[in-house]
Amino acid sequence: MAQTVSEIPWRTSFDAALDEARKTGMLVFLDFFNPG
Amino acid sequence: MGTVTYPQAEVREILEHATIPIQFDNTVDAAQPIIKRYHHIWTPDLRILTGDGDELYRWNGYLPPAEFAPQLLTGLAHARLRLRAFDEAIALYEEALRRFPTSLYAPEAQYFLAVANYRKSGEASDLLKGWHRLEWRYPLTEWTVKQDFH
Repeated sequence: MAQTVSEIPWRTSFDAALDEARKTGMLVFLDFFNPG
Repeated sequence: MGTVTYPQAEVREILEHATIPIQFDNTVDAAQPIIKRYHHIWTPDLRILTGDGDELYRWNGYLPPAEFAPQLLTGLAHARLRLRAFDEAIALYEEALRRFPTSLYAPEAQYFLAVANYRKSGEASDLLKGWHRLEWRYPLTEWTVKQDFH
């Protein structure tokens, strides 16, 4: 579902990203983009 | 953003070390539930969320690396402030101001650095001292107007 467009280690699952944030106390950075 | 801003080292460093980054192509059907959940309408659309999915900060629009990095630091600081993690918020605002003192986002960082110090200490002098610094360093900005009632 998520796309990779640079060297940033973008996560590929939203639910897994939230779960990782809950476990680590970090914040989620969410980027909506348009490839055009 | 993907070809100019994200590859830049200081942007990548902040994203990697301070966030769990995820992105969605808004033309893909599978992204529609997330688009609806966050009422997405225009790209670039950047959000800072808690692990529960609550949005704490947002902005729209392309930024070059030299402005994106301080916007990101200021947004992360604001998210920590809203979570009442005052020491973390103060450290992030101070980092934004130290590394990017002339950025478009420095006045916002200075405004809320004063708020964070005040919320932490309860001392009105911390708020006024920070806002006086805002008036002195960034006299002609939105954030200076917003504190001009005292």
